[in-house]
Amino acid sequence: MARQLRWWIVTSVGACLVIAIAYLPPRPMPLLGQRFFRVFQTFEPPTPYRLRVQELARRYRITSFELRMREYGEAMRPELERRRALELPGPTVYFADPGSLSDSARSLVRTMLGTAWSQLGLRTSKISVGVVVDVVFDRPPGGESPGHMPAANAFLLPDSTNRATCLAYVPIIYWGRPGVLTQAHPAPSRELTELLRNGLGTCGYFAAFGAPGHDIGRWLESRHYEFALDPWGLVVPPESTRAGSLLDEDKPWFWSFVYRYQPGAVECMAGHADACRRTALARGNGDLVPVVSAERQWSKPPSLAGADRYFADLVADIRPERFSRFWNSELPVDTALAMAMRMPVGEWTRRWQATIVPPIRLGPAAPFSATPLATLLGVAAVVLVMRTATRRQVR
Amino acid sequence: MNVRCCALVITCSSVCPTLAAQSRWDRQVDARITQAGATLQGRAYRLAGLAGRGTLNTGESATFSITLPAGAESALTGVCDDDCADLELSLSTNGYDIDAARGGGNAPIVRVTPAAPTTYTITVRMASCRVNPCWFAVAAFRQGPTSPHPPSR
Repeated sequence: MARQLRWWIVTSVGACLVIAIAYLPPRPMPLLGQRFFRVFQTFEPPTPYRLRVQELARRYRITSFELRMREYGEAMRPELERRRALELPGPTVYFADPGSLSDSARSLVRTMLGTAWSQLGLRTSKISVGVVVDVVFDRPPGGESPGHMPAANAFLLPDSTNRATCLAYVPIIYWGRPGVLTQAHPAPSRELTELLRNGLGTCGYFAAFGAPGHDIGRWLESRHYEFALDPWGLVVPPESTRAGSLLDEDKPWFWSFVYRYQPGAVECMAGHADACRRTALARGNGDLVPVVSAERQWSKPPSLAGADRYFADLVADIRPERFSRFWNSELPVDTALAMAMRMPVGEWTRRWQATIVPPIRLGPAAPFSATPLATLLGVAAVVLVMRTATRRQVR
Repeated sequence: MNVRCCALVITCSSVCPTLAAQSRWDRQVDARITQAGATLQGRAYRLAGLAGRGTLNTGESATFSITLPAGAESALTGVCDDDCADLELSLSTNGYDIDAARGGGNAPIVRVTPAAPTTYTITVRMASCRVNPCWFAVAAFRQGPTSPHPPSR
C-alpha cells in the first residue's frame, strides 16, 4: 500500500474517532455546544434523570399544597357555613399568619376582596369561596424546596369531597421590600387591588357560574384551567398583556419569545384560524387534580399568548349570561364554545389573539427595500463569474 | 285539613332540626320534601325519614343504603333544588333493579313492598342541573302509621 494512502486512512479513522468522542453518549451534546465552548450561558436540555426528579418534585408540591389548603379549608368551614346560611355575599378571608399583619391591614384586605367580589357582579353563590391570604415578608431560606407554597395565585377547586367550596391561595410577596400592608395605616393601592382581584381568579368563575359541565370540566382540567386564571371585568390594556408575556414587537427579544411558543400558537399569532381553533380546543396533558396554579414556568409558555385572560375577554364579549350557558353546557366543548361565540372558535380566537399580539408574518420576509439591492448583487456576482470563466476558456 | 296540618308538622319536625345552619339550596330541598309529604299524605303515606342528601353535578350519581321493614308499602322520593331539571332514582337489592324512575323530571318516586325486612341500595343520578352543583335529598315515606324509628341508613 502506498505510504500516502496509509496516511489518508489513518487521518480518516482519527477524524471518525474525534467525532464519536464528541457526539456519542455519555456526552450526547456536540463538543462545541458544551459549556466551556460557549460564550454566553444558555439552557441545557435536562437529562432524563433530572426530568424524573422534577416531575416527582412537582407532584410533591401539588400534594403538599392540597393538604395545606384542606387544613385551611377546615379552619374556614364554620365561617363558610355561617355565610352560606345567612346568605352573606363575598368570600371568606383567612390569613395564613394572622400575627404578621395589623388589624387595619387585615380589615383593608377583607374590604378590598369584598369590593372585588361585588365588582364581578357576584352575590351569594352556590359554590362558596375561601381566600387564604399569605403575606410573605422574607425570602424562603435555602431556595425553592418542594414543600414551599406557590409564589403565585393557586386554587383548590371543588371536587367530589366538597362540591360547594373553592379555595384560593393569594400570596402577597414582599421579600424584605416595604409594602402597603406593612404600613401603620395602610391605604388601598392599584397594585394591591389588582392582586386581590386576580386572587379570586378561577374560583370567581366557579362562584359565578357553578361547576362546569362534564366535558368542559375535563377539558379545562386537562389544561390546568389556564383560560380561566384571570377574572373578567378588569379592563387590561393590550400593551400590559404584551409586556407581561414579553411580546412587545418593539423590543429586540420579540422574535425569540414568539418562538418559545408551540408551533400552533405561533401560527395563531400569524392569523391562521385553523391553528387558533386547534390550539384553543386541544386537550392538555395535565393531571386530573383539583389544584390549579397561576405560577408560570420560564421554560413553558402558555398554549396561546395571553391565555390567562381568554375567558375573561370572552365573558366581556358575550356577556356573563351567555357564558354561563356555555360553562354549564353538557355539549362537546367545540360545539358549546362555538354556540356561545356565535362564530367558529378559530375565527373568534384569531380575532382575540390579534388584540394581544399584532399579527406576525411567518416565512421569509425580506423587506421590499432590500430585495432590489440583493437582486443586483446576485446579478453582479453571476456576471463576474461568467466574465472570469470566459477569460480562462482554452480555445 | 287538621290531618294535613298534622302531617306537615310531622314532616317539618324531621326535616327542620338542621334548618338553622342551612343554605338557601338546602331550604329549597326541605321545602320540596314538605311538598312531597303533603301530596303523599293524601295516599296515607307518612314521612319515615331521609335516606340521604347531598350535592351532585350533572351526570354524577350517589348511592345510599336503606333497610325497609316488611309488610308496608314504602315510597322513596327524590327532591332537588330549583336549578335541578331532571333527577333519576333507582332502587335495587342484591344487584337486581326493583324500581326506577328516569327521565321524569325533578321529583322521581319509586315504590316497594318488602316481604321481609330488606336492605336496598338507592342510586340517585343528577341528569340535569342548570348551575352545578345541585342540592338533593331522598326521603322515605311509608303507608300506615308513622314509625317511631326512621329507617337505618
